[in-house]
Amino acid sequence: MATDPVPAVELCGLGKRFGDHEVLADIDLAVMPGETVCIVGPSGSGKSTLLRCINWLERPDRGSVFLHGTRVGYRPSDVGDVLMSDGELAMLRTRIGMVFQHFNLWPHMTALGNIIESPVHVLGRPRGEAIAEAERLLEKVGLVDKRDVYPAFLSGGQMQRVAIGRALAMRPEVLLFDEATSALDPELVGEVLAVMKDLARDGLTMIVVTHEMKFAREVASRIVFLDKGRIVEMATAEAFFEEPATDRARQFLERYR
Amino acid sequence: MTFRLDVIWRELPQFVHGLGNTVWLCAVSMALSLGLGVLFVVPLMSRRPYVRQAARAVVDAGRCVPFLLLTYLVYYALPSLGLSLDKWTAALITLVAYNTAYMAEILRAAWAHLPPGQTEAARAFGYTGTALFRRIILPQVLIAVGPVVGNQLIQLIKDSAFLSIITVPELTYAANSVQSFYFVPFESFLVATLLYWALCGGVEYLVRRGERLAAVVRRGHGH
Repeated sequence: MATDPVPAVELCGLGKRFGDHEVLADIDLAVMPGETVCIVGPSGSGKSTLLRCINWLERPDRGSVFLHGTRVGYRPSDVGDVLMSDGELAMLRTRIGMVFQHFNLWPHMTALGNIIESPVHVLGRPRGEAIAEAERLLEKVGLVDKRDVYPAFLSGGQMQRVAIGRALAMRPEVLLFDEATSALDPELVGEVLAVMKDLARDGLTMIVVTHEMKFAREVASRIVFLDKGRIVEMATAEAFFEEPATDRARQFLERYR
Repeated sequence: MTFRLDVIWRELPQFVHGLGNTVWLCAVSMALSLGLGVLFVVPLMSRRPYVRQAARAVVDAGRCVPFLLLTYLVYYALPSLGLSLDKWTAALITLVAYNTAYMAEILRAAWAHLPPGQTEAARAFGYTGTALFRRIILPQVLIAVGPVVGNQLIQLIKDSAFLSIITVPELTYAANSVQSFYFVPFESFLVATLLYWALCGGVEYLVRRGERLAAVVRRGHGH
């Protein structure tokens, strides 16, 4: 079935410390193209840090990140792998989309402005083409009528859907979701999850940090359960939720029943 | 005492001329120092400590000289170093130098208080260096500083009165000439005060408009 043997994202022996505190240790994970991997676990287990290490918003202390076989943060040279320049890292980041907990839309731009900003100014796509694509994306996330509205006048759910549109406009090879619904009022969570489900169905490669167990169960190809900075369990959604292999996971899931 | 409205009426052109000079001197120096402040804020926020400290020293030096003293330095002291300036050039240089230090500090404070999320998102989307500053940081900073810059402009308008010392024919100079020629200090200085109030009131009005825009942007930060 899988014809592409190269993972979209591969983490090898990833580790990260903040001072004395070991946030991540020995993380090995391969996400294949088209997979939706949900990362779950208690608060402070390192889920967000893991995600942020993938695009090097957080620089890992140990281990490597590969994006379709290309090492993130380093480039090969005669003397082995050397650190990428800011510019090289920036260009690599354009291949990885990201959706943030607090949306982080640019408040001085309209919904459309937010979506076309990076395609035009970073990737150098023609403006007209970017606008046409942005309009298509606004339709996809159900916000055509908010095209010219500034973030201040959008609800949290609408802001997050614009943020998803903004990420998709870069045509990323993988899309990272960092607790995309945690900052939303409960009644607005559904509209964002619906868009995310659509994307998973379309076959977009997604890595999703989430507390929405129902969503994870429905959508995830695999679940990664993280605790104290380590992968404790990795299984299909069905296996993880029906028969968690570890006590730690069972305890964790108890709280969601 | 009789209120010599007739004198004020006769000398109105001189007041208007003085007001005009105050307005253009302040407007031009404000625009220039805002531009220079933008250039200065980059080293002020540099990741390299020695760049940051050097920029900070220059900015503090500018902010911690009394405006009147700076005017004396530029107009009376520079000629002894062989650099003679006419009063207009000296006035502009003093206003711009003094005000740039404040602008840089105002911009720095606004930049430091931007929520980090928007900048981080920009990095995640491939922004770095100048493009990050120009497209994402600077617009948010400029909108946020609107009200503070307005207050600084009011300060500048009041400071510009010191330029009468070096005979720049601005509003205070005009009021002083009228009062000393006709011996009408009350009338003359009252009119000047009213004109300063009107001018600052206009700035204040624009500041309030700017505050509304800044509030919209703050709300758009999504927290």
